[in-house]
Amino acid sequence: MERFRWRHGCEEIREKDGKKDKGEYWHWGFEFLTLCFCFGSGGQLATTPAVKARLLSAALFIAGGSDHVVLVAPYEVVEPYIRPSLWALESNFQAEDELKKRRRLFSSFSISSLVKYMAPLKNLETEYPIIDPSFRKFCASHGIFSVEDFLIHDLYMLAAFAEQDISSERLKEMICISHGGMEWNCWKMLKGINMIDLLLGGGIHIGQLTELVGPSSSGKTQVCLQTASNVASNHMVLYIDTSNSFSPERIAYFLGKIIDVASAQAKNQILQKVMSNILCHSVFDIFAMFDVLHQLESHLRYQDAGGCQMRLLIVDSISLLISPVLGSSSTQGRALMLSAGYLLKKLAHQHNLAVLVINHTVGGEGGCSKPALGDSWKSIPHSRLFLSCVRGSNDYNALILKHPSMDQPLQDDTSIGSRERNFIDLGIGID
Amino acid sequence: MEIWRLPISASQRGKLISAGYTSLSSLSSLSPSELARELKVSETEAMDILKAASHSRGAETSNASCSILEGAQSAWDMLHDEESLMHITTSSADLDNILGGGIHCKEVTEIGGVPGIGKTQLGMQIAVNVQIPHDFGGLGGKAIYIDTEGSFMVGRAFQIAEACIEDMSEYNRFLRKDFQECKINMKPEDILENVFYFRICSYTEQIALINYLDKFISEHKDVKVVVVDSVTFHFRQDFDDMALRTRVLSGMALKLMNLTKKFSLAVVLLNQATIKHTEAPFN
Repeated sequence: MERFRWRHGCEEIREKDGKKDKGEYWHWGFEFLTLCFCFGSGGQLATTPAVKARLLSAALFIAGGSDHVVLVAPYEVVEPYIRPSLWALESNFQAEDELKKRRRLFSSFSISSLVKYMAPLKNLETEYPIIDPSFRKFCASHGIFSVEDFLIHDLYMLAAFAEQDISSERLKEMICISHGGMEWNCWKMLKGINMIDLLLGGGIHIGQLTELVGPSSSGKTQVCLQTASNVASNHMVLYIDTSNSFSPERIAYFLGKIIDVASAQAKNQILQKVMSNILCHSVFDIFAMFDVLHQLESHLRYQDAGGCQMRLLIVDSISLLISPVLGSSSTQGRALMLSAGYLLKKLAHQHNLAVLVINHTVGGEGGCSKPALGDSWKSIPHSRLFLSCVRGSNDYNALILKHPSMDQPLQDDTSIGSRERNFIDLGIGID
Repeated sequence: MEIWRLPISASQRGKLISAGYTSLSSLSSLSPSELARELKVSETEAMDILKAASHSRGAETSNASCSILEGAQSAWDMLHDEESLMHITTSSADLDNILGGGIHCKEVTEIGGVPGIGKTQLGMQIAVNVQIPHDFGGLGGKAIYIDTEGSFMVGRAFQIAEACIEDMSEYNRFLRKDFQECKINMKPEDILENVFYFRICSYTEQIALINYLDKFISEHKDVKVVVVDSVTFHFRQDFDDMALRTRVLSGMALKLMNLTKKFSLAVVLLNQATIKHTEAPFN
């Protein structure tokens, strides 16, 4: 009967600079199920990834005998930290059975979505008739038994395999169903530039904060303008402009390329309708930005469910607002930066917005550039994308620094240039 | 902005006033559960009250797109505004060509170059050209000239003003023969009178002046251009704390951009280019 009692574990973690922290977890398990609740011990250190990853590895190690592990942890923990930790752990587990290994890794941010996430594919057959036995056989041959597995897999690789047995149309349909029908906020995406969508795994995630970093003239504002013009046809966009970089002519140019109507008058009408969906607000200090965000929040709380919804919020150069207050002897600047970051994430999560933020770079050690705003800001955005321009040519490069559904890259940013993983040469001139 | 104008029932209004909420802004930051607790009504009722409050607040502003945010403009409106903006000519056709018609209002333009290339001359010319009257295609406004290096020569400015008037009269003779009077009324002294000149001797004075410009321009509404000769002159030497310099310069840039947006004027910054490249985040 001992197995049925709640057990308490405590990990003491010593950080690099000598600070100690305690993390606690509770787990309860029997043969095929272990429930594990993870908490931090409060205080600043509890939010570092190191603590959380250690907690999880300890908890899962203890729970190693079970087939299913259910982790219940706060949302803030799950998205940035648990998923990459789980991937790291999966490679460490020495399970004989492939089946067992797959079913081990679940994460949830609420009990109700747990059930949907874990659903094996055959239970969905009644709802979605496309998941017939032959499709399931195909999925099983790649080790996919539940919807979670399906989403974790590399969809493009699967599509390539699918070309051989079944048509890739069905696979794409399946992707649409699992994305659209299951109401997972984090998997809905917005489309921007094709290559960057590829890098980000489909587009900019709704409900998450994405950061674009880069030296000046590396195309960050152009990426934002193009994303805004792509999204504006169906949703509303708010562009918070701090550096006078919003250019309506550029938006009109991008839209002119997309809209494919013969007569000039009809084109003008469509242009007017789409461009009225983009709102631009200029702010020049951080308190004005807080004001704007609070107004936006109260508007979004009471907006009607139908009609045009706001889905994209772009803050051009949040670093320009924060750098005048950051770095002086007082800590107010840092506090403002962190509260701005949390407010943006809260807006994104509660109101289903995708938030895109632009940051610039400063000189780091050894002469290479690193993103501005320091280490505290590093952990705030969910994904970070580094843009740079190859000197002397019209090519632009993009590099992923951090993304929730890819395994965690190196911890330090000093060697950005030498990293080959997740690097894509855009190879297009931004004209 | 008053509660009594809200489309809610009288009993709800009475409860709101007795709980102390007399204006719409006091309701803006409440959540429905808090309001329900305060007024002792159900949560759906509280939600309806708050919705009515936010809608009536939105309906008070004139533009439909501004109901979301005050001060926000849709991209379509901005596109049409930009087409109707005037430019300040630099008296050089090629320069005007590159700049897209001249120096744009509502924008900050930076002109940089090696010493001796003619930046100060260009600054003085812009300060004179902004005063060209509307009939001749100019803005008819006044100018503020902020001098940090002491390179503003009044004699030279007088010559530029004389040349500008001569240019206008030639144009006049060429095209329209009946506007002789308005041209004669302009004298070089008048042009110089419309240029407000500030001499800055240290970086603290510069920061103080930029903070003061807001008040100054609200009193002199027809100022249409601010020319800062060598905006970084006082920051180049004897500045020990580089981080402080970056912060101060970016703060100044933000304030100047705020000025342009608020008063619809143009800001022209003259800067020096040196051989050693430092990546300053100053645009």
